[in-house]
Amino acid sequence: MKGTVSLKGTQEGYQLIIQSSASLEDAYEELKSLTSQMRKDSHNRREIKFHVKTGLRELTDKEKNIIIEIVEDDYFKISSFESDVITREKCVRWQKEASPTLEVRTVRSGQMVEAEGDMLLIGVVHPGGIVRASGSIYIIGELKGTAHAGVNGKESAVVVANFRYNAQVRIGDNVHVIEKKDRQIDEEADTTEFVYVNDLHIIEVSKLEELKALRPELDNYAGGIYNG
Amino acid sequence: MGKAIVITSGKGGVGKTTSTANIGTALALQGKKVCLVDMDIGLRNLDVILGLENRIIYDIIDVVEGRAKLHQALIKDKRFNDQLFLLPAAQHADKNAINEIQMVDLVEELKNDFEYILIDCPAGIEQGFKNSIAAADDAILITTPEISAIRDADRIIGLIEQTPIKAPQLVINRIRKGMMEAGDVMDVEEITRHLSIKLLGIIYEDDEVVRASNRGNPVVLDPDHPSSQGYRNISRRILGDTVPLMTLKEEKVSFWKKIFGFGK
Repeated sequence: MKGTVSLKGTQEGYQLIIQSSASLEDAYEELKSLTSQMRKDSHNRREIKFHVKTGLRELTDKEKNIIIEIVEDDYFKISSFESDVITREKCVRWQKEASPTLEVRTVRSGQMVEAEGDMLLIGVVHPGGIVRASGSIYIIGELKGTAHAGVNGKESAVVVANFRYNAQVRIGDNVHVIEKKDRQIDEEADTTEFVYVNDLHIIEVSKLEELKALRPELDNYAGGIYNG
Repeated sequence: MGKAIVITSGKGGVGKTTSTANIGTALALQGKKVCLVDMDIGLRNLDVILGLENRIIYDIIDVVEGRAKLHQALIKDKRFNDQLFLLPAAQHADKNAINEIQMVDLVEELKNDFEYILIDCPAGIEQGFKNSIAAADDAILITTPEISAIRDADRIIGLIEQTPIKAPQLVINRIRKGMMEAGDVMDVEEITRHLSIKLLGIIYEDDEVVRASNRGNPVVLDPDHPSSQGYRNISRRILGDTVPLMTLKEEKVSFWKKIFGFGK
């Protein structure tokens, strides 16, 4: 079978395109002959990186390893794999992580609200109430209880809220206690801020204006699907 | 078909039992047929406050375990003409001696004979609390202006939200006017907004409540006290009347003069 694997040179580098309609066995065979031919042809042995495109076929890790074994040697390397499809499982997981969970409710003492991925809470977290999300937490309302973002250890998660009340914020393993000792100035402190973990792994409160600079990736997925 | 209302608070000592006795008595004074159910098994008090301690023959556990019929365990309050009854708790058992299903059956039976069934819930959120709310249609939440009581009330609202009971109604008990005006404690509006449930009534701190309870006469029987008026207002609101709140803004003395004090 000819034509199941083609080599293409682009500005970004070399691409190995494996036809998704061909059987993988044929593709392996052709990859072998193609690479051995290239090894013979290339005289100045310098490192060449290949980007493997598999079209409408998602390769398993095992299949990827076979291809890596065929192609790679001291000079030929595979930089990445790319396909036009993703598995359903991955898609559902991505969908959960990428679309914020919307909760409109009061979180009372002893209650716990949890979400996969990001959470947007509209309401009040009372003292003793807990909101937990594996991603970031955004609160429109009042936070008087505990907000725990990045519960699975995602330290890039942030908590955006109005921190004018006593509260506790956790990101991953980091804990920050917000104490407003003087309740009188609370009225003036009516600004939304965010809490994040800085490069020194220290939890910090910062002005909302800095959010875009510190976490530019946050709005990447707002609206619409991108291939993850 | 009667209506079962649970009176609960979470925290102890905020006045659940006193409020149960007084609201029940006030409803009976309005001509309703009322049964009070003491669920504080092992630490019963409702009978003491009503002055019915010595008349207990059978209790709720005797009924549940089949040693007595329900009507045998009910104690009639002789001050009212067949209006007020008490189903006393057992003193020799604990809260696990009865379960939710038995409680629902019991209250369903009571509903055939009574218009209002008030369930006096024990403190805490364990089995006694679960039994008490299992059979209730409505809930009245008692709190005091203390932050600890408010915190527990918040927890209780959260637990009640998970049951078919619609939103509980709030009674703020033991209000000390001076402290509230000085801002030492949260005021009525703040508490209501914080808990975000409907306010059913407020009761001022009143020494007479303790005095009356010690004599076994609920304070509500004597209308000349602010606490008594508070309980009467609550009972009228339960019956569907619109009664203005006793406001903190008004001087207590002038308020009473307005109603009773002409010519005094």
